[in-house]
Amino acid sequence: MKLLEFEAKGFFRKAGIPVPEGVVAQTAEEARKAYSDLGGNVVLKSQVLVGGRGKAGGIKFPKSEKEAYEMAGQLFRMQIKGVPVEKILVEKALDIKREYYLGIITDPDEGCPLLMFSAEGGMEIEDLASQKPAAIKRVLIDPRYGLFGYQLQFELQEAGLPKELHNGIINVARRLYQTYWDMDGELIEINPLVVTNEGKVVAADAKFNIDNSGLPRHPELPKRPAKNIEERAAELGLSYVLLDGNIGIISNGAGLTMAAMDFMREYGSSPANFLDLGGQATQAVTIKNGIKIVLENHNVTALLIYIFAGGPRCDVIASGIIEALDEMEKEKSLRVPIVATLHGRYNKEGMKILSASKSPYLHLEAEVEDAVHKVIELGGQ
Amino acid sequence: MSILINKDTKVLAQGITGKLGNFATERMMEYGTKVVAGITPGKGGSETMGVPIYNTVREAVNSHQIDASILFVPPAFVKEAIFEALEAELKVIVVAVERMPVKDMMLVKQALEGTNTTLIGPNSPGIISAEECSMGYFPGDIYRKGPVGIVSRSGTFSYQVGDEITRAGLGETSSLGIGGDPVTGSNFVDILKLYEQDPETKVIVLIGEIGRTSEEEAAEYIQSDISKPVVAIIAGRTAPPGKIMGHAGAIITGGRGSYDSKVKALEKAGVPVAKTAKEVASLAKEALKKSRR
Repeated sequence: MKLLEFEAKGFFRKAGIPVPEGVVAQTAEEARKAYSDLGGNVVLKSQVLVGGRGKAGGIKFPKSEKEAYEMAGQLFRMQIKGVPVEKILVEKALDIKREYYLGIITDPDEGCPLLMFSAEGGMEIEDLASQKPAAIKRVLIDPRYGLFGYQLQFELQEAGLPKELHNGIINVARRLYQTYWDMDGELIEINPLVVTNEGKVVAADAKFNIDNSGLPRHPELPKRPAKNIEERAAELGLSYVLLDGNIGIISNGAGLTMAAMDFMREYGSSPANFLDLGGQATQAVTIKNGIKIVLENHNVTALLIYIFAGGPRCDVIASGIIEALDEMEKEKSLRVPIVATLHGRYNKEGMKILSASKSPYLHLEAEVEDAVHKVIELGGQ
Repeated sequence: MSILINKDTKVLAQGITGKLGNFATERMMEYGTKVVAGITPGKGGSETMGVPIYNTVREAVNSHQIDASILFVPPAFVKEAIFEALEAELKVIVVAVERMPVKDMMLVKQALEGTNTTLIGPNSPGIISAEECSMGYFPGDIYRKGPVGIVSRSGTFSYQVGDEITRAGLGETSSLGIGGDPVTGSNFVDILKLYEQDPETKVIVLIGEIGRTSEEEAAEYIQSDISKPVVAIIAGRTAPPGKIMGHAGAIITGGRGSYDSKVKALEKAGVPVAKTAKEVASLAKEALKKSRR
């Protein structure tokens, strides 16, 4: 789960990490009021979960109450990389002397938290990693003990930071690590971490992603209604990713679903989506939900159902598919040909159940290669 | 021969009376796996499917010889169950559970250092040694004894590849899934090491996917330490960056974990990379022929 900047800053504030004074506005009028309440000299920051919002025009610098009102209005009418702006953080502008980068991620390959610091603030860490890898100082953290001040102290010296800044930055880093750890963080980032002309260390921006598997133990996190199709699929227990092709895919297991996508490309067509049914593939309702989600995308001209059963049995899955198709035909919600290929446990029994279906939409293939050829033939390229 | 488990392995099932635990244990026993005890706190003293149940792992190891444990406990309790199995010094722990908090797994990873335990998972299909022992959800019927050792990040895709390998007339020693999570107890390198030492394994199949850099590390290790032929396939060639592809670990971020980077590293190490499961089987066959010459 990704938090919006103002949500992340709420956790920062609680942890004692200095953040600029700010107010969240949901209308232009609220933004105008916030401008005057904060006494001017503010920044309007669109609250959207996409990178590069500054370049996309999502950050504005009003010079008056009137401008704050107008600029907020412009932002609320904007879409940043397809995402509408619904909230604006009106924040006191900072008197910036220096900008740094400070972040902590879960390093999958080391299996422990990794703190990264760079004196080149403001640049995306990905760009920094590819263009100036030596500018990133890294500290691996043993999760049993947490971050030790001396670890970062050493790196700050290596980075050539003025001595008077060390304590302030170490202090923020400790609190940042504690927040990441306590909240089941996956990534927590301050970019830029600002040193003001008065010498204060302040988190100018905030990024905070939470490990989805840790969510059940954090009821304090904001609840967000599912908006896009990927979020709605997730609520149904399905992993879905929208792609730009025309052949829909439903499969079970992440690797197998990706393999099906690759297969499609290999045979000269392109997948319309990734959809992993996960472990609940046995239930008719799961399969029906899956088909419905895939068909919401109007680019889909044909659908491949590719199952390899390990735990559940193919005959049970096949009954689920039949039930789902029957219901959908009654609702008249089917509109494209479906090619199914079942493998693994009880696959012959499963294919037999499917072959008894009278649905004009359903085609069967015993081999996955044939199934892919067939679905491309039916769906066109 | 095989790696980690065989026909003599005595298995413990932690969380044996849960829905998943019950289902999987039954399947494992059908396959011939020797499940000697189960754990469900509060149900000690009773039995299920003829298997005695204990409240704690300590009680179970006091009454039985146990070599390996498979965990089916709910995500919130997995960390504790792993520590319990670790304390009993079991040689193999399989964590099939999905959605274990990564934070918990980081702590487990530290605790594993310096022990003789191999932990597989979390979010793993488990391990099977063909026609001997199955710990996990494998469709056992597709595996036949043979010279191919499989190590994979995915579950169902490894079944597909295993099926092709068997149908090509080869068969397997073992097939093991390291798990689809960002942090896992074993990585490719740990398992490659085991296949290298196993005399029956003549060719190794590595099934990777986008995300992480475990395939790149594996490639380096293969170049320096593996004498047996290795054949690979990587799922996710057509996956867009920045999106989680089903597995929490399958995401291309910040230029890391891309398909091209993995293929480049593997090819540099002399590992041919197939594009389909069928091609994996034919490459493995070729590699086997060459090594027999």
